[in-house]
Amino acid sequence: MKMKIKIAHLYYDLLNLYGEQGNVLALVNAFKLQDISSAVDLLTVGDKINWNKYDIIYIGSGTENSLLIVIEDFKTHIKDFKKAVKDGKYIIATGNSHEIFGKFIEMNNQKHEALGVFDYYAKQNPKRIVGESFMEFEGLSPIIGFQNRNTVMQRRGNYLFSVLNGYADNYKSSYEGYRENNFFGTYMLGPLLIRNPHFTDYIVKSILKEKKLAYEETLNTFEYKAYNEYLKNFYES
Amino acid sequence: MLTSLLIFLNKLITLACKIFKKNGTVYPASIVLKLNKDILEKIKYPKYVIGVTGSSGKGSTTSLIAHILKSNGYKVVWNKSGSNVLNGAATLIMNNSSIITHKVKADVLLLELDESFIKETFKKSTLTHLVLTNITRDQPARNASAEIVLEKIINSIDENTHLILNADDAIVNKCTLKHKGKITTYGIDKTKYSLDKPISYCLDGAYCPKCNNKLIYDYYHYGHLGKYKCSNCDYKRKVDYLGSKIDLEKQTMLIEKNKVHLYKDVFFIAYSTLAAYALSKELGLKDSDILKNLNINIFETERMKKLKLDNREINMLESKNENNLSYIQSLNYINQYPKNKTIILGFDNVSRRYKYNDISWLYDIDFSILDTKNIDRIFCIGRFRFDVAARLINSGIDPDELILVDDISNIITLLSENSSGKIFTMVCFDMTEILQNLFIRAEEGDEDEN
Repeated sequence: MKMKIKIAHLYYDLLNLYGEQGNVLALVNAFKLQDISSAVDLLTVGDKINWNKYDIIYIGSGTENSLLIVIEDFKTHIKDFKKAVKDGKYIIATGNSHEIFGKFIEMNNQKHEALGVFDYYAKQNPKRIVGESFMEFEGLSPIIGFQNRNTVMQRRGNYLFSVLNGYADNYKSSYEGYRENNFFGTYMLGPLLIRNPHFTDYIVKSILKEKKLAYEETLNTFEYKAYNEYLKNFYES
Repeated sequence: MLTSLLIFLNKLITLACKIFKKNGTVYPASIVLKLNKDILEKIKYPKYVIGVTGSSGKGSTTSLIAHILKSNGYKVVWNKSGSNVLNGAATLIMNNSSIITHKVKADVLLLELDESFIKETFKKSTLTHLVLTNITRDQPARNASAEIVLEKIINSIDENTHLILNADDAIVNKCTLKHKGKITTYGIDKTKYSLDKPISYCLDGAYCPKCNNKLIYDYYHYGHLGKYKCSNCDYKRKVDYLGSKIDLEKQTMLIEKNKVHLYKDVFFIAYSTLAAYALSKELGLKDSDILKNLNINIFETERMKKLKLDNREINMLESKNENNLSYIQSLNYINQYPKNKTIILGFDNVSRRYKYNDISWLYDIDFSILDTKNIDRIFCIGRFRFDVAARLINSGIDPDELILVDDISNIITLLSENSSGKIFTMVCFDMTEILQNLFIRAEEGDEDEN
């Protein structure tokens, strides 16, 4: 039987604030270009999750209230989630969703206990942080994206991106996001994987390598053209 | 004395703008408010100060309310120009206020208000009525999220304001839990256009604002607007004024038991009409006084010049960037046209308010609802044409249907040589103007040749 990539889109109806289902589409399409089909499961509060079943777990951004609902529900998944991270499962968290895996989130002068999987925490910033960002990731420069958040993040090490231009975790840092094995958490929101086909291909290539499958590069997609056009108009100029 | 001088100054700057043919709908108050930021608190307001706010439909709702009230003998001062932020509202108010008494010279002050600027414009108790049309994803770089917009609105008013709410919007309906003043609601019953499932992944209003459990929807009209109830607690949609039996082809609907004319064949006009009806009733107007101005003395919109290219009709649909429901309504409208058609979409800039070019909203628009059966070609234009093309293909649209336009000045030739059928443009402010000029020039060129 031909192999199928299995993707879980977690909390698709709560943490999907900025067109982030586009990231799931990006993965499906990137595998399709490799002649590999995908199956996507939309999962939410109260659903049982068979963590072993999935090759990729995706989770997007949400409102403050949605994050709190998810923290409550996710408590039943902490053990499986920790194991998934340790086992090198590909987990991609965009926007503010990676905040839930830290120690706490401080909002409106209230400290909300988070899931405590990673050693970082988020605190409300007096002003919303909004704008374009350009990042460096393992030579895949630049990663382009947009941030729109009201928190700053305090963490030490395991950074995902170095900031070339734009917003870091907090005003003193020059790094953004969190990486542990194949957990990728970033404040960059929206269809990040659509906008950065080279980053998506990095993930696809890595998964195929683990599965001992060949990867064939395709650079003439509209996503690549859009990426190059964006750089021409907004980065290089 | 100072108030009189400032009102006079506002009127003087407005006159100067007129003389020098500059847009004077916003600029005068920008100067006056610098001299006294509290000037609007010195104004003596009329009996009715009505605000209309929400992510979309504010303009059409405000126009209909103005039409009904004026036709019933009220003197109405309203922001016809659509300048709905602080400087626009303040310019209008001061221009219509007496220099001596500081009174607004009207029975009703009616304002379309930007949902984020109500607090900056008025003291909490100023608005006697506030119509809230909907709160949807709109300009996220500015508004962040619908919940934040709702909080801003709720924090802008107090119990002295009578809220007129669209209860089909579960986010708007959250006001019923928080507002301490009078509330009147309106909503639309199941229609032949209703859907069992939401048409996109964009699932705002999916959870109960009271207990955080999942809401169950009986049907959706568009976006997250529909009939819902909580799966756990007693939170549900309650409607005082119910619209039903919408027929867009005939441009009619029922409100309560009355047949009402819709001035446009688009669904959101049913909401605007219903909101205007509900407010008018709450102000004490009789059914007959409202209905005669909806059905006989029909509200007329400014008609856009009808454009043609090679004898092909052109329909320019203004689609607001960063607002998925605006695009979805354009898609629904295009779907209603049963014959051969060509579509143009794309943009150079995401916003005219700010320089950010976040394209996340493109992925909140479910382009897969586009019925491609009669679509000949889709032209992708502007600096983001490749992003638009990628989005369309991701929605299942055949890449062979797409034509990427690298140079917009070539679009007339490309349309003539490579496409057929009625042309629908589905673009925002910047591209509407560019395309309109190109179409007009092409038509004038044809006339010269003849």
